[in-house]
Amino acid sequence: MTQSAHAYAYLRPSAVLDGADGRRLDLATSGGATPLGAAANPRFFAGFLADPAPAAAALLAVADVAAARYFQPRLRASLDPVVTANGDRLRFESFSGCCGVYARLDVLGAGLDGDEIGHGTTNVDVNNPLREALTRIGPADPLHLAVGPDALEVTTFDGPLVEKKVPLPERWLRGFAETQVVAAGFELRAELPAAEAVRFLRSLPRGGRGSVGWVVPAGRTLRPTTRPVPGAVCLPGAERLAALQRVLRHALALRVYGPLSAGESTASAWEAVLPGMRLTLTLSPDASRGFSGEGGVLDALATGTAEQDAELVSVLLAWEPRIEVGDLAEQSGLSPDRVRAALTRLGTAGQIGYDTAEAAYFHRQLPYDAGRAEAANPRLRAARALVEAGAVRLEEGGATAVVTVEDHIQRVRTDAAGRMSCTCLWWAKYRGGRGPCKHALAVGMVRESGA
Amino acid sequence: MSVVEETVVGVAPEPVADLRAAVRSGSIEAIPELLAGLDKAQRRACLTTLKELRKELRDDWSHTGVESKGALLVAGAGCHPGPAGAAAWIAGGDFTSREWARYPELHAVVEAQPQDWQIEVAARLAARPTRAWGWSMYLLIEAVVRRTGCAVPTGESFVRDWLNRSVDRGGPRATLADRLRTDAFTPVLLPLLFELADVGHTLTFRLSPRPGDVWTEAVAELAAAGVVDRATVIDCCLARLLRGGKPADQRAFLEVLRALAPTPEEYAARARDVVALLDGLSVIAGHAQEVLAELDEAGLIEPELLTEASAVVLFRTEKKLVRAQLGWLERAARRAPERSGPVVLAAAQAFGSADPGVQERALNVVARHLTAAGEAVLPELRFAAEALNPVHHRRAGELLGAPVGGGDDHDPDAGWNETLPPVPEPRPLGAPIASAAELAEELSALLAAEEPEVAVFERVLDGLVRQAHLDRTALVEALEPVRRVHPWHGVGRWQDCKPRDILYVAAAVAGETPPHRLWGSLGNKGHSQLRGRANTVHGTVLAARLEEAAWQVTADRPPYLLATPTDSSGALDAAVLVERLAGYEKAGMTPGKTDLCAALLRVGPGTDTDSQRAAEALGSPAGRWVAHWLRTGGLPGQPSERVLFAPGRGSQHGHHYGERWWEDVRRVAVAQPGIGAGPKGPDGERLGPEFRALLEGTEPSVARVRKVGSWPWWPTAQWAAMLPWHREELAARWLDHVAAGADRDERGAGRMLPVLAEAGGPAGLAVHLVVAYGLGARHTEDRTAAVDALLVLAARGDLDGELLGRELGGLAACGTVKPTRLASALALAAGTGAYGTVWSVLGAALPGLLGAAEPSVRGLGDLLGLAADCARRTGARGPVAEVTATAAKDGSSRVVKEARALRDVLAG
Repeated sequence: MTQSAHAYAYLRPSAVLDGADGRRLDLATSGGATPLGAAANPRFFAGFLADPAPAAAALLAVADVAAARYFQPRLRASLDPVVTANGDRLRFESFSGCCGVYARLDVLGAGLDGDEIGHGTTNVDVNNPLREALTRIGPADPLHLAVGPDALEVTTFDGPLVEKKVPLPERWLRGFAETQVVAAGFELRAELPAAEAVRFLRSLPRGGRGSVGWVVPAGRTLRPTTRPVPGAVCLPGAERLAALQRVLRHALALRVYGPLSAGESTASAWEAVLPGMRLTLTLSPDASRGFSGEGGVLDALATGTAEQDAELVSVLLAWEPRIEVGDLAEQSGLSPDRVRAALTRLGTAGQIGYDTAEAAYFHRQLPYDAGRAEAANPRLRAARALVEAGAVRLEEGGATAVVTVEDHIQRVRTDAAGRMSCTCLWWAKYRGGRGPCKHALAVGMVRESGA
Repeated sequence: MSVVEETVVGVAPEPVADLRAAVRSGSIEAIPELLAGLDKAQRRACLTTLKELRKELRDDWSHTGVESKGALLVAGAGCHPGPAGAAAWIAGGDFTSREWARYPELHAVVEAQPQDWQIEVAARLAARPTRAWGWSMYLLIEAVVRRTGCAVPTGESFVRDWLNRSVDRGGPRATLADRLRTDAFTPVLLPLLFELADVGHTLTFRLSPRPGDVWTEAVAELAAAGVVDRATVIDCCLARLLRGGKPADQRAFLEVLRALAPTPEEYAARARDVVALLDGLSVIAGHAQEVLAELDEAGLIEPELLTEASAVVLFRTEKKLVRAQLGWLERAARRAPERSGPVVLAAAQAFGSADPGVQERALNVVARHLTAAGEAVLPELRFAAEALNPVHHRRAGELLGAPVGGGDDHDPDAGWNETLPPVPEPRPLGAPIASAAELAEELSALLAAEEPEVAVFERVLDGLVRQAHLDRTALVEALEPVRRVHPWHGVGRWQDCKPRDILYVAAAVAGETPPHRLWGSLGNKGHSQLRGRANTVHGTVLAARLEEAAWQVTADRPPYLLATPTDSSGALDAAVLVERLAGYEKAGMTPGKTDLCAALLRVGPGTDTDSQRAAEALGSPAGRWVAHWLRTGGLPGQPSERVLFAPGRGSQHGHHYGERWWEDVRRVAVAQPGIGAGPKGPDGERLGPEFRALLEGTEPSVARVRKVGSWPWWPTAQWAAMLPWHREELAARWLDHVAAGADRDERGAGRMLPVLAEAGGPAGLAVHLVVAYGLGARHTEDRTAAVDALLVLAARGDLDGELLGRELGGLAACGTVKPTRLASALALAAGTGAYGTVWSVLGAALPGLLGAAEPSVRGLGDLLGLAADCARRTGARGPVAEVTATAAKDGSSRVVKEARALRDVLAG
């Protein structure tokens, strides 16, 4: 697995300081992107948190997920969360080391009390003293939050930087980006009031074998069930929801999101509604399998025009908290479908996130070099190799095509709705749950170039 | 090698050659001497040779190879002029086979180098991360640091090694505390111990019974002696506990904190940390709670901390902690009556607890101090009291002066609205497979799945016959990619016939088997590839169907199969069957015997008149049989007889002692007479022998119990799809399998229960017994499946609560079903809103539960509490004799209290 080393440079470590007017939570930012270009240590917000105790607990939960590996928990992946300022809210995102859990804390306008919020994306430093300090924060004292150093500090700074160099596996980068594409297909499936949510989360197994379970809404609560009945939500690896235990005391409600059609195990999103904030955990379809490799984006990546469309659309984005597809279509002059395909493609490059509660995309640019992700996708490369070798032959009737692979053939069939299916073993096992196989991709490419 | 010697100019080759020879032979003792005789230029010259030697020896792990590597390590350590290169050499991965750091030669060589070099090398070695497996260079680094007196390295691997070596046993020596006191590393490294993870075992490992010979006590002694600053150590310890981590680590650090025994003043200075500890592991929260209670009594902390601590602790589930917290609140209010207001408000947070006992205690605290608290707290208390369990509503209403919880309670005259899951609709099978390409994909998917679905299998089998009828050559061509990957090998004789063996039919289509072999296998006449000694009855039926299908695709080529169901539970619509037969008659084909029998078993009772008339219109013998079958209602359901199966001590012959586990078994099982020869058709036709074997008479016996345990026997949805209208019969034959989940702790016993609940046919004694056993199963997923089945049966109106309750009572009385498991399963069912169903079951189970067992059986209290809750919500009335008797007993155990509550509810 290829890895690239990513270097963070902070002016000083994040800390909770005691000041004249109460305590200050100072989060240090590293290099990232803003509307004005790349910035070394941007400042996004300075003001008060409306509810200190839930905010501290939620931030700890996000940091927990960043440091956790739920599958094969031997190696520790300690990575700093990503903060995005969208003008009316702050978002803290993190992705677990096993690539199976994506956590996002949205601190909305109601949870903040201060000057304006900036625009941009960067990393924040989370260290051990900060974690301990965050657990000590009680409900009583007001808490001042500063994300990023202020201008004076930047100009007068001349001490040693806090530098961290962390290896980031490519799979991790791809998974971080692809979570958005999976989440775009989610709908709200159930909402539990606080007491029922507490009871339900406490009844989940703590440790465990990480087996896939299903829950079905029944009355005001969720009932576990053994099979995917219609209306059931998949809960794969229930022990991965342990990160929500920290905020359980402050939770006002629990919302569950998932895809509508459920046959195989699918991903799902679990959102704890806090005062002025939302903490969402998105779980991968299986505890032992992470998010990347879902292949849900391969269709969008394989088509030709998506690349130029994506470039056009990316210029028009400016860190909006909600991306309106209609507005973008007008501005860019493309059809809404092409805009959506372009957004999907930008999502895999880490430039778009999806907010399940708002059911809309938001713009943020991950401070990682994920641009090569789509070129490195192995299935896409194999499909291109097949096309170049001329292994695809369309049969008469148009519905089937034969792909010659070494000494044997695979037959790809297109049904009336345009969906492609194949006789290869990979397709037989996954049946579309992980996107099209390389044969189907190759046939699609040939058809498009021929049409 | 000689090439190297020639290119090294102006250097006598002998020392290099000697060194190389010494390394090669692995004589590590000679290396320091040899190196001492070389000057700097010669050493640099040797380096190239050594590097080549290293490359050569890299893959040699033999004994001599390992020795050579040791010598190589020492030689390289001496020859590298720069510390960076030397450190990289010494830490090489190919030198990890032995702990070379223990060898005095290495130390001698390093000692001979200049001091800066040694310090730099030691620092670099200490900064490297720990290897997952392999020896570390700790001893070397330690020797260098101690000798030169340089700064102690603070890398994580170094600290960990220091910690681990300190508890290495090594004969009689001073206690750990004494050793650490004299060690120069301790003041630097001890605070860094608190940053490590996975040190729980080492920290609590006791070397000898002497005091101070374990890390926890040693830390305390060192802090007392002033070797490390006590305040720093306490801070580090608390910070570590706050950070969290593995429970074993946490407990070890708690031991350290306890050994340090901070004084109340020290704790009071760190009160916020202690409050934050309340959120962690329950042992730690308990300790923090005790500390805070002491501080509160001594008046060293602010009263607001009590409120904050209560908010955190009363949210937890551990009863011990919650009770201790309520006790603390009580004492605080008694000590200082002006604090009654905050105390009462804090206690009210326990009203939302899941345990009614805890709620009762909280109510007691509130009751005692309400007058002192004043009127101002009443609105908040009333709001909090809404979360109380209905048991306490009356008392809370009297206490707070306003009725509690009257709002959402229904009018008792209106009746109870039961929330049950929607009745599951049968899923239609879908259109038949249209093209050969689609068939190839479906077949590939079937073969790749571990447990293929009924719908997929039936569609593929039907599709094979259809496509073979339409165009056999195209079919063979389309199947080619699939057959390449999955060639047909035949079933092993020790395996059951499975849906995967549809490859037999695919192979027949492709002409792999000569037709006379196919004919010879029909009806088990000759050596069939699909049947063997280990076949189950269902496997034999599947084998018969596949053999016939294989014959049909080669010889007859009928247009389609008759037995393909119309929905995925295996049921076949009678109208569709009649239509198919009409099609056969028009094409002038005879349906296969096995195919027809399978179809007849899938057709359900209750045909409408149109289909009946259409059936009478059929002329062929098969058509007449089907008409007769539909007219007479097909196969009658078999009566179930309740049998108590308790084989007891059996014959000692032939069975290993360890295999005679059934002697302890005591089960309630079901016997059925069987269909015998089966119903007769108008021309004397009978069902095939394989199908008759499916519904043979069954009775509980040791043979049956042992067969259920044999490994090819594993009920699947395919088995259930062969008899979609006979769930009573299936349940009777699978009863031992499900009962094993309850009394023998087998896993996966409850999987089939939801399938049985959704199947057709009457739900009699056997079905209720399997649900009863499922509710008492050992594993959670089996109980969840049983709850699914219970709710679906109730939703379809097939559940007889009295019967299920009586059986449950009987099973609980003989100990097969444990009340704890039953309580958790029924609480799950009740939590979804099905209180009426749960009460109908529990109400009938109570006589059995309470009659035989002593009241101290675990879980009985929970069950009674659940029964009281259900009865209250559904407005059930009518006394139960056993409940009244239990309620009349003395004592205030949970069981008696709940029995009294239930008796009061039932009395109205």
